[in-house]
Amino acid sequence: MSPALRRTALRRLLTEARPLRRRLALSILLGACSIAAGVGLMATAGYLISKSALEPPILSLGVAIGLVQFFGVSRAAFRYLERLVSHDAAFRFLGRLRVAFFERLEPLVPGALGTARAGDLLSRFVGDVETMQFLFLRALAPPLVALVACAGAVSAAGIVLPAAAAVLGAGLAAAALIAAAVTGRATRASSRREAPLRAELSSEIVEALAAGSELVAFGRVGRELERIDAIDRNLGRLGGRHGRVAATGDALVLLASGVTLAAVLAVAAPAVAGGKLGGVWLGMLALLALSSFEAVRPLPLAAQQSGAVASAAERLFELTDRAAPVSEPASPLPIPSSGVLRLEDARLRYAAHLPWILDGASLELRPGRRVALVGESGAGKTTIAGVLVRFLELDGGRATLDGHDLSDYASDDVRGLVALDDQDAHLFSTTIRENVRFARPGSSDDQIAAALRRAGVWDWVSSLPDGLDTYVGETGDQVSGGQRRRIALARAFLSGAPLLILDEPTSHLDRATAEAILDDLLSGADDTGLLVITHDPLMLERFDEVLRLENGRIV
Amino acid sequence: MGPLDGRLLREAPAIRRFLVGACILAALSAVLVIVWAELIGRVVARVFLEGGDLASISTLLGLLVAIAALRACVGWALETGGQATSRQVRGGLRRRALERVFRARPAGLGDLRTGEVATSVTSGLDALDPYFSRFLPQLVTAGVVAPAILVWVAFRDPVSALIMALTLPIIPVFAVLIGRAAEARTKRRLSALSLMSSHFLDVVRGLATLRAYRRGRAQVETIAQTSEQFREETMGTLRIAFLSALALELAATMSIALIAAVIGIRLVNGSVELAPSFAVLVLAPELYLPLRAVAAQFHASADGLAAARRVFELIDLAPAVTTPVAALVAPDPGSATIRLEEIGFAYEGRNAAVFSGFECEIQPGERLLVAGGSGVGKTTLLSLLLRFADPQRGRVTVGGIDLRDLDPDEWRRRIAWLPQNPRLPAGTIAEVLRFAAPQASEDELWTALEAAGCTTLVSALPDGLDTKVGEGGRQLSSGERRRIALARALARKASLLLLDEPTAHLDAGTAAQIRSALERLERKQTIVIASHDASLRAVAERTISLGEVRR
Repeated sequence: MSPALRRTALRRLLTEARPLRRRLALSILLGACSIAAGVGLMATAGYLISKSALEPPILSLGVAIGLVQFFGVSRAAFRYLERLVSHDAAFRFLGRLRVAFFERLEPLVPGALGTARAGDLLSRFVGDVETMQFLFLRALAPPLVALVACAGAVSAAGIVLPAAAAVLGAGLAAAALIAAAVTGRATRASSRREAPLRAELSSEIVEALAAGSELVAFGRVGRELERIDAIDRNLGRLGGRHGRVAATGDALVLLASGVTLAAVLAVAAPAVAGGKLGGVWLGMLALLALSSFEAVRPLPLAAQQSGAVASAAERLFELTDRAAPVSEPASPLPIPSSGVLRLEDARLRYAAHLPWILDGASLELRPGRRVALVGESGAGKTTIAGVLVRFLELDGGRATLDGHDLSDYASDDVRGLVALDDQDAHLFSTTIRENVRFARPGSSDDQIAAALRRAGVWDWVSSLPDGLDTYVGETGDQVSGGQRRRIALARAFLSGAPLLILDEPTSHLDRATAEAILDDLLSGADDTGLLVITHDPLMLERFDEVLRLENGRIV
Repeated sequence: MGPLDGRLLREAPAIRRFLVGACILAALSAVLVIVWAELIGRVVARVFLEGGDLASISTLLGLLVAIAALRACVGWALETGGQATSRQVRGGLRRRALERVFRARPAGLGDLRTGEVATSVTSGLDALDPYFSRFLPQLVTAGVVAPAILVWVAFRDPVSALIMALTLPIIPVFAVLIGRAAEARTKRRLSALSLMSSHFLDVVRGLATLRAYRRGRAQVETIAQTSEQFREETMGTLRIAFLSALALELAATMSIALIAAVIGIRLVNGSVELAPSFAVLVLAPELYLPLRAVAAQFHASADGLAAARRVFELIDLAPAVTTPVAALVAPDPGSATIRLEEIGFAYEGRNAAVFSGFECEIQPGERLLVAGGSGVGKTTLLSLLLRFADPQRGRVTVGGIDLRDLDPDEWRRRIAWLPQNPRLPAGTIAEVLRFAAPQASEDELWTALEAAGCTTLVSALPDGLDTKVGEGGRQLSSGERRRIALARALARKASLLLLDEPTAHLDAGTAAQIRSALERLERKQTIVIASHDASLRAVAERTISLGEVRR
């Protein structure tokens, strides 16, 4: 990723943080106060024992002793407050970002994700959004805190001896620049060059695990492990190089603190010898210089984190900046209560360099008519469903509702008329009731039970000790594939849409159950229009029409 | 759980080497920091009390810079050493875990999930990195430098040493006490945080479904609300959790303040001198710094160790079949009879036995069809022949030798297998075929393709054998994939050919192509076909129906 893009991504993120700027400022102030108190503790301690060496009356030390104690306590107290304020701000920021990115993502799903690995893309999206909480705590705050604290330390040194302040300022600035430049470079190089290798390693391992039995049967395990090791070795070589650069950054900061201390002493010693500076201040200056480097110490890590945050932000914007897959009309036509959906010579592909998914497909879906759409996997059946519910827009040909272009209607209105039960329909980690009800908010338990009954799963649900209140687990992992499929199917029935598109409604089901569900669907006397997408030749003879999709056309 | 995992130390010798090196470096850095503090004390005392000018301290300042440079080098060596160890250990653990997973679950991952295993051995193991490159070096530093400073200070100024000795244990003690109290709350906080994340993940993953039912927009409000609610809860617990850090911080700063005050009072009395006192003051924060760093890294290290333990669970999986210490030479199934004698077999964790007292004999060169509906054990039978599993009772023999007395890898050399859902690695057609037959010449590959009825298919490809297929190349249909996988099995020229449902899920035309390819095969090998497809009876000389015979 280029530095310019990185900066743009960070700038866009910061725009989102603007309403929180007071909290951020407070947290930075508290952080700087905490460091300043630490510097104050060492500096006054240095002054205290220097003064004591002159053997003054013990009472005259009272103020210095008091100050030392005060700085000791306030250092810890400021740190505690800073942590509270900064974490609070970070969580608020994260909440805002979740909402902001979700709002951008919402119109893009699923149409703009493409077909491959959409699930991975969404999981990464969530991970990247969560990474943003570190923007505040670990990337943004430390440099600003360092800036304020260093300014304070340099000013304090300036009151004692301006020349020493100049030296200290130069030393701190040099250390900060080294930290940011060296670590930043190492991190950027690592994210640019290691990330592809990391992805390669992980996909090689996933592939190997999936093909495990063939590796074993054909005696290829050793060779496969060699391949994985070879990728790992390349990764290690790169990582080692970047790690050494990062470690050099840390070492240079340490060296800078030593050199600065020596330089401050070298400037202060002649001033003491020449009588321009009281000798008691020398120890104070030395410890002030030494301890003020504490502000610089978190900077290498901050540079590293800001790299990680910027990469995550960049990926987020790459996703959310994609063009919306369907355009919403400025003044949508009023949606009819029912109608005839038609595809005419539909053509669609996901990108200009990719083959046509739909290449002149035509079909019609009207109330009361039951249509089956069959074809090999990858033939474009699911794409047709996406077009009909306006998740996707055609590149050629027409999709119409009662003769009007489908794109003249608001897409949510279309989805009220046509319900799609996707074959990968998601089960939310809540109860069976909530998983069905959201298709028609406000439905009664009786209506939900009726929908579940039509989906052939009510007998099972009612036999459960918790019935509709049964928790389905994360992504429905506590119910079987067949039950998951049927709970999702019940949503389509509950929605009450006059046109239903069911994508592989009988997958994961045994034959008897599948037949019972199809039988119920096909013998119903109601006026629902039905498009069943399937690769299973079950009961095809009972449909009004069977369409076969091959190479993007109906044959 | 201790910060040093015994298992990790035992299993990764690289760590022991690293710990020894780290101790030496830490000892070096202890010496350096003490010299450093003494130098600063000397400089301040000479200029302040003895009226020295710049020239009189120039040597000391030069030394100061040199020591700083040396400290930087030691720090660099520790950090990069930790990184290198981390890479070495992670690579070793990954290899062993993967190797064991293949040996323990040869027939498929089963209860382990691909994604979960892959994450454990990649990003999971990456969690060990902070443990090695930061936590361990700091732990060693704390363990070596803190006592060294204490001993030196005791020698220079016993009273300050006493204050240090009294406050130093407060830090770990407080860390443990408050840490424990906060742990339960922190755990709740973490689970709340992960709940929040998983709610968000759930909504995002299900977004397409929500949108299909026009509920996408409605989630914005829910997300905002739950975020706010979790923030409030989390901040409540953080207020307490941060108290432990507050206590640590206070112990460190207050003891420095105390040391300074006590030194000051004794300086007024004239009972101590400035130079060593100043050195003690410089050393005081260095005493607490590594301890605080260890505490700060503790959570990262706990994550790393948890990840390591997950990988050890994989390494500890029992292999599916045992390899005898002195394996016999595997007889050639092309000329030796295979007998399944009194086989009893059930999958682990399942009550129903797949076989009990099953008997079967396979003659050399025979073509046997194993028929029966789904779930009757056709694939299990092939698994036993492949030694993906051994029977719990009875035995499988070849030429009278129990398969358990053979090296499984050696035995599998004699077998070619067409799995039910063949996975072809991405690569050229030639690479795909050589997966099973690494030594095969180009002519031999064409012969195998011909036998599997793929000649037309492959000749029509733009680059013939060198055409890339699979991910990033030409996509094969499921029928084409099956036929290429058959060619792959044939290219192996094994004397026992196992075919699992060679015609399932194929359209009638493709199934017929496969059938005729099988019919045309030269009679060189023993063939066992597991299939519910009755039309394959034409290919076989003998059919056993698993549903009917006593299993």
